[in-house]
Amino acid sequence: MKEKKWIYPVLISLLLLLLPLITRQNYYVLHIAIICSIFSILAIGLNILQGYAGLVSIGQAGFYAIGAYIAGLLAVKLGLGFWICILISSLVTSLVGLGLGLTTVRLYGGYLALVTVGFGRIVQLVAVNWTNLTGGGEGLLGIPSAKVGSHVLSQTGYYYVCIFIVALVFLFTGNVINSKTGRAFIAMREQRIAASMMGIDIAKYRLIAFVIAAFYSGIAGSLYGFFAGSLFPDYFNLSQSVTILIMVVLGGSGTKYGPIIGAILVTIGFEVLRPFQSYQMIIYGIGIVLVVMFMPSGLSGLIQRLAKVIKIRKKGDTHAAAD
Amino acid sequence: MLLQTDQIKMYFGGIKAIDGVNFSVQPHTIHSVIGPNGSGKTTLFNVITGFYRPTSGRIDFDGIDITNLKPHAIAEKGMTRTFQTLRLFPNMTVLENIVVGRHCRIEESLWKSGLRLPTVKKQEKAAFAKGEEVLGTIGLMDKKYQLAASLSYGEGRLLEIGRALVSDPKLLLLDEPTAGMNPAETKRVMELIKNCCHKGLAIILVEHDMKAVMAYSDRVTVLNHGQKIAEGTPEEIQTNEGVIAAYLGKRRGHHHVDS
Repeated sequence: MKEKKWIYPVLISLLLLLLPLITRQNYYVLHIAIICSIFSILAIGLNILQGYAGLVSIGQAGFYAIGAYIAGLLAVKLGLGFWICILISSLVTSLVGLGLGLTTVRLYGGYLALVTVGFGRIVQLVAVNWTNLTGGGEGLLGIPSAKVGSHVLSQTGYYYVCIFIVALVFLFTGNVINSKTGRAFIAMREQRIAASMMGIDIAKYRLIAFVIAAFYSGIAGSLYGFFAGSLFPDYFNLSQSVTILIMVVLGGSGTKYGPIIGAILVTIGFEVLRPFQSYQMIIYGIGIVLVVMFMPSGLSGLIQRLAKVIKIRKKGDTHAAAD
Repeated sequence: MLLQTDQIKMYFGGIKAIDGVNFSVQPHTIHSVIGPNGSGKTTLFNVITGFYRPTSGRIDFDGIDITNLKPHAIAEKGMTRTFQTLRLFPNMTVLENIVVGRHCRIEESLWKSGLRLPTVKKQEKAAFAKGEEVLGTIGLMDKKYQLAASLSYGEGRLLEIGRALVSDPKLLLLDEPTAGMNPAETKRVMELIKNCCHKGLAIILVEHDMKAVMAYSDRVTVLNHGQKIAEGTPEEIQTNEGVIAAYLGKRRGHHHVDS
């Protein structure tokens, strides 16, 4: 089976690259695809924090907002370019992540989750009330379209930029998880005391997890800002944070593909359920309860299990059953 | 002297868990710490490994004052331990559990890991090779891809020892490594410990199995009520009256005649 391992990634990349062609640059499809990419980046970030390092955050919308507003402000007020805005805003957002990590260094579980909720709320309130900077509830308007060089990106172009960044984030994260750092994250999630006795500096790795998650959120926020063209504090509310968490948990926290699967499914789900807007959160709530109860490793885990069952059926292979 | 404690005290409120213990361990020896329940053995371990900061006193390890170091820093200096109750990483494979133990001997920065540079690949490969080597030593090679959660209790204990060994420590602290094991398993663990010692490791052992302690230790320290009441070779300890009294209780009549 091993020689076929490359086939799925290649197929998926091909599909993603050809998507504008297949859909004849359908505005709606590409719009959803861009939103999916942005949320994939957010979910990959939270997956590091919550899935691997075991640090639950319900305040990711706070980082998302900071990333979006800083990129937007740099573009609107200083007229800086697309890439430099993304870079500066992600760096600043990761500094905020460092700050939140430092202030919560001894908090775990529900206590940490509560503080992150507060953090998200504070960021939102700052965005609402600092009206001369952010425009408050009126919104930060007039963020220019992204340019690469002197070329204004079309929607299709922006789509390619987004999936390119998702790919980078995905690969970088996978590499980190498959290294000393990733093992340290998982070890401290599994058994904190033993991890510290194995030479893992818990405080340091916590901060690393916070900073990476915030950095990614900063990227996602910047991408959103340039995509939407205007920013409103309402968008970055608590249920946005919860949505990101749902993506991770539904897709499979602590799994490689889980956050992306979750981001795509939840985003598309929101679109499908749009007619029942007031019931959306109820449906997701029920979904999350079912996932936590019956599929602790989310859809990603379910897919893996199904793949294994199919493999066994096909080959009558007892080896597959053993592992 | 590899490890030396100087008058360490560990008080929890009014309770004197450890009350002025001087204790030293020579390189290449198995040094057992025994004592009745509640005599302060595990507390001593927790103080030495940096898990508790002592109320007063000083601990030197390999020529460095480690009294105020955090556990991870002490581990880096070459001291690792196992726990009285199993503390494995249940959702990691047996091999991954071991490789986590190698953490402080792997030098990979976040950036290098993220970009998967050749140096990282090389180090990862070396770490996993080292992990497999240790798995061979502890005899869990056939379980390397199983989740640690699926191991039996005895195997879990072996895995903890392996995880502590893989960083090439100078000193290994084992907190009741044979608790809950049958005689065959106990023998296997004790032989493993002895072999490690032959390879140049010093070991501090907290153990309730007196037969094992007396058979394998080079030196024995006896604690009672947080104080050291005796220290010596196993032969000396076995005949020490204070020790016998602490374990079996003083005979009242005898005591009476004495005083």
